Amino acid sequence: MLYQRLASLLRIWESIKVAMLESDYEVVFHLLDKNRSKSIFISQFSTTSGTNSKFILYVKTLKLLIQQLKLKSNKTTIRDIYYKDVELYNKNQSNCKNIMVSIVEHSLSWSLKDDLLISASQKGLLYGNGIIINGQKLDYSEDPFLIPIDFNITYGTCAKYEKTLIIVVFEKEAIFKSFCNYIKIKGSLDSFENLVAITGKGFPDYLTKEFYQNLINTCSKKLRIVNLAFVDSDVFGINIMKNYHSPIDLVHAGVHLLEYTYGWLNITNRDFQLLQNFLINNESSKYSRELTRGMLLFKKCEMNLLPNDSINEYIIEKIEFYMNHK
Amino acid sequence: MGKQYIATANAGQAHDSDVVGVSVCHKYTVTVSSDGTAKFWDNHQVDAHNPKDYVVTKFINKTGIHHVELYENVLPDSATKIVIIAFSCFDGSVSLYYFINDDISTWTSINCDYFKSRSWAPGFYKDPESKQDYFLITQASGSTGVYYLNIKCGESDIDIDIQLEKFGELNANKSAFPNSLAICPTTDKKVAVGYTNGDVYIYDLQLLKPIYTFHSTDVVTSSKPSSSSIPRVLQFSPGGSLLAVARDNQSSGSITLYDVKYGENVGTLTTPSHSTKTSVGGFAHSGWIMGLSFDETGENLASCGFDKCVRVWNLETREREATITISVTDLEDTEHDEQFDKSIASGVTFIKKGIRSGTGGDKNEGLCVVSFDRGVRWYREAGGI
Repeated sequence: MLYQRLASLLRIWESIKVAMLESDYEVVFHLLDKNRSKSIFISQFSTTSGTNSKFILYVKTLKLLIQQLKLKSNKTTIRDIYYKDVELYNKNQSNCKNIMVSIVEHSLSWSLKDDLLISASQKGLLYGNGIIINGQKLDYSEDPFLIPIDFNITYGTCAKYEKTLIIVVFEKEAIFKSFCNYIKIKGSLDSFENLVAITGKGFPDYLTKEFYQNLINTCSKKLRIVNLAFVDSDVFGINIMKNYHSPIDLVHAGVHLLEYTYGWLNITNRDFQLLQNFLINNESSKYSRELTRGMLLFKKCEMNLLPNDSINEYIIEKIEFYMNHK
Repeated sequence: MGKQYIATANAGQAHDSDVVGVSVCHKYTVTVSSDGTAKFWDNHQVDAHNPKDYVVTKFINKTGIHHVELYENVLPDSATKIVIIAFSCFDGSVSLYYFINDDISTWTSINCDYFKSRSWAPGFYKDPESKQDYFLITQASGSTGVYYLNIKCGESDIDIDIQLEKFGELNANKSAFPNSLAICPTTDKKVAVGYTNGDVYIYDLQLLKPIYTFHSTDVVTSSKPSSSSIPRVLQFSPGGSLLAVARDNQSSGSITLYDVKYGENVGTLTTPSHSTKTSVGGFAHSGWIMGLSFDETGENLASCGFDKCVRVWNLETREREATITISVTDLEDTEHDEQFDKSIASGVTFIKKGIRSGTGGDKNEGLCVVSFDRGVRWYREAGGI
C-alpha cells in the first residue's frame, strides 16, 4: 500500500518536473476543497507574492512527503515534517498540516494516518514500571515520556506480583506529573511492581486511546488488570473516562464527591444542564450515582494539586484498595 | 439529652442507589432513590418483620428521583381517601400519581402538561379549611410555579378527576436557583423558598408577593468559592409560627429558627462546643444538613446530615434531646459497596403516633431515616409502653 502511494506521488513529482522544464507551459495545481465539490487552482506564475509562495509551499510539501515515504521507518508525525522546514511554513505548524491535508486527504482522497502513516503530534504521556515498550522496560526512575507512535508492548516477569498490572488513567497532566514525581522520589513501590500511568491531557487523542486499548488487549491475556481512572467528579471527567473506550471495565477510582472535599466547587447553571443531559442520554449508566449526588448537593469536585502530597497519598490509597478488593 | 430512640426495623440495600427522600402517609413509608424507583413500605406490620417482605416498588423515571412529597386527604362530601404523590426527577420532570383508600392497586398516573423539564422541589398545600389546595414547584429559571390543585370525586369512589391549573409564580429572586421549598400548613398560606445564594424568601401564597427575606447568617467568610451557605432544607413548624432553615456553614451545618409572623431570627440550634472559637458561631451538625422534620406538636425538631447522625432538638430549651448515629453495621444486611455506600443521612421524618404498628406504636412517635448507604431505618421513642 505504502509503495503504491509512493509511486503515485513520484509520478506527480515527475510530471511537475517535466512541465517546469518545458518553458512553454505554466504549471497549475488543481486541488479540491474539503467537500470535494469546489476546485482550487494554484498557479506557478502569479502577480501576487502570496500565490507564488503558496505554489512553492505545495511543491516543497510534496517533496517532504516523498522523502518521508522513502525512509525505512515510515511512521512519523505532522510535527516532525513541520520541523524539517519551519521557515517555509512561516513558523506555523497548522500551515504544514493544512497543506498536507489539502494534497493528501482532499485532493487524492487518501488518509494521512492510514495511507501515509503520518499521524497528529503525540499528546499522551506515559510512565510506569515493569512493562516493556519497544524493547525497553519501563522504570520508576525514568521521567514520563510521550507515547511513541510506533509501539510494541510486551510484559516481563516480576517475581512477587507477577499477575497484576495496574493501569492508571489521569484526566489532568498536572496530577499525572505530580504522581509520577512522587513515585520517582519515593523510589520503588514494592506493591505496585507493574504499573502504567497514562494521561491524554484532557480528552485523549487517537494515539493515546490506541496505546491504552492495545496495552489492555496485550496484557489481559496473562495478567490481572486493575484498570483505574482519576478524573474530576463532573460531566467532563466522566466523559473523558468514557472516551477511552476501555475494552474492560474502567473504574472511576477518584475523585469522588463525598470524600475529596478539597476540590468542592459550586455547580453553575450550565453544569446543571450538562448533568441533566448526561443522565437523560446515558440510561442507567454506572456513573449516574456520582453525578446525581452532584446535582443533589449542588457541588462538583475537581482534582486539584495541593501544596502537600495529600493528592498522591489519596491516589496510592485508592490503588491499594482496588488492588486488594477487586 | 432526655429522649431515647429504639430501632424497630430496617432495610439494608433498600434501593440500588442512594436513598434521597422519605415521606410518610398513613399506610406507607415512601422512599425514593436515584435508581429511579419509589418504594412503599407497609407501616402496619408487627415489630419483628422484614420490611422487604412488605414493600411495593414502583418504577418512576430512569434518571432517578430526588424529591418526594405527599398529599393525603379525605375528599369533602365523600368517604374516599386519596394520596397524591409528586416525584421530582433528575431530568427536570415531575411525575404525579395517586392511589385511593390506602389501596396501592389503584395506583394511577396523573396526566399533566406542565413539569416536563427544569423543575426541582415540589410541595403541596392542604388547606385546613378545605377551600383551595395548591401544588408548588421550584424551577431552574429561578421562579416557583403555583398551581391550583382541584380534586373532584365522581359518582363512584374510583372516579377521580385531578386538575392542575396555573395560578401564578413566586419570582422575587430570579437570579439564583430555588433549591428548597417549605409550605406553611396553617391558614396563613405562607411559602418559604430557599435559593442557592443563601437567601430564604417567605411569600404570601395568595398575593404571590414576598413578605420577608432572610439572608445567610454565615458569619465566617472564606476565600474558597465552594463555600456557600445553601439553605438545603426548610421546614415550617406545625403551628406555622417558626421556620427552621438548615444552611451549609463551611463544611458544617447550622439550623436557624425564624419567627414567621415578625420575620425575625429567633436563634440557632447548636451542639455544645469546647472550641475557643465559640464566638464565631456554633453548628448543629459537623456536616451539611440534608433533612429536617418537626414532630406533630412542634415541640421537637429532627435533623440529619453528612455527619452520619440524626439529632432530635427540644425547641423550648434549644438543646438536643437525642442523637442517633447511623452506620452500615446497624442494618440487618451489612453487605455494601465500600466506595459508594456511605451512611450519610439524606432524609428524616417524624412518624405520628398510631401510624407504625408494633410495640409502642400507638403511644410513641417514630422516626424514619434514609441514607446514602441505601438503608432505610425506623425508630420509635423509648418508654411509655
